[in-house]
Amino acid sequence: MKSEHSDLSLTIATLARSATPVTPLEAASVRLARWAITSTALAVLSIAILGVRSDVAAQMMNGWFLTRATVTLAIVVSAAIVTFFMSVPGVEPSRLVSAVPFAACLVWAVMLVGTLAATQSPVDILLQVTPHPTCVLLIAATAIMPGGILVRMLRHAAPLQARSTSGFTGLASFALGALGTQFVCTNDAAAHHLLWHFTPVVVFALASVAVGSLLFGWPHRQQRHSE
Amino acid sequence: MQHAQQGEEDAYAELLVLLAAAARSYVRSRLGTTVPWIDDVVQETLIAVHHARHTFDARRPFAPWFYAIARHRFVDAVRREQRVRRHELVDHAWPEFSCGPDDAACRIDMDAVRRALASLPPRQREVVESIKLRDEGVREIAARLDMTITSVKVTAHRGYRTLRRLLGVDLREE
Repeated sequence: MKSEHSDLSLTIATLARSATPVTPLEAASVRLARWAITSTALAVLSIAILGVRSDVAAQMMNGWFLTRATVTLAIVVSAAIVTFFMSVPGVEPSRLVSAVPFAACLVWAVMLVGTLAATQSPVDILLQVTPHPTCVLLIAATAIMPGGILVRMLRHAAPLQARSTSGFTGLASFALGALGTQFVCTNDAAAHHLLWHFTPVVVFALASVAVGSLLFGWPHRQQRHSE
Repeated sequence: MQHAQQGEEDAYAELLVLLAAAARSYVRSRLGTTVPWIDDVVQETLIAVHHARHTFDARRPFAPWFYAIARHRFVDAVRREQRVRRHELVDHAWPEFSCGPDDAACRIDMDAVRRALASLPPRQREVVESIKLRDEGVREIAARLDMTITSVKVTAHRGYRTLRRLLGVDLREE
């Protein structure tokens, strides 16, 4: 039977033999910028295809619309930064930086709940919200391409925390979907946004955590690199 | 590492030897003791370094890059060990024949085993056959099939469980 050390020597010899030249990965910031540009273009294209709301020019001067858009954009940017840096060993973001996307989500939720609570009968309003699964589909449709590109770019790096990477990837992509949907959906009510924009993003992000091992898990990366 | 990125085999082998020692020392320092699976972690760390070598940026220090990989492989290994300990799966799970005194009965059982083996998913069949019929070590199988050692054990366990279910009363566990 071989000893542990001879196994290790064999591993070292095998790895050394397969040391083909590699092109060093570009800096996370460069890849982030590239993703941001591509995703913005894709989101704009999606909005154009899905049909931009007719009052968009007026909404660009509307504080409520702009605040929601800014907070959603903050989630997209912060989650994308975290996930890009998380996928490169040695430059992982600190816990404080990793908490920023969660904080932005919290701000989004508080903003919507606060606006709803300021009405006279928030619970009634919430119960009377008409189901709007179209918004969920719009969010998913807008998020799918940027999300796919993001997953591909991150898999090309070396994400060590599969679930976290996947969760932030999902959050960045679906928050981008929600941001795009805001330019299509004409319903600006807080209750509608809470149930049909915010909640789907959170659910999709949690679902992304669940499939993290599948997307970024170690055995899959091993298989991918060996192909 | 820059030489390794350029595909220089000797420099890379030298680096891996140094990293193996560093990874072993890191695991020992984290655990405060020696455990039988230290070499598994060391091996997985080296494989991870190999697959992630394109992510090393020569403008940054090497140690944080390497120890980030070592830390995550170590944490993964600890979690896996805890899981494995909870569902202990070793060779004993392999079902044994309850052969009758005559050889014919054994041959019939063997046919049933072959049929059951053939019905296993390809990866499970490969792992079970490698361990039980070709007498290969878990480590060798892991290297050959590009799996982790734990994955090989888990796959084998699943294969044994399926075989037990398929063969039912004809087999008993040791």
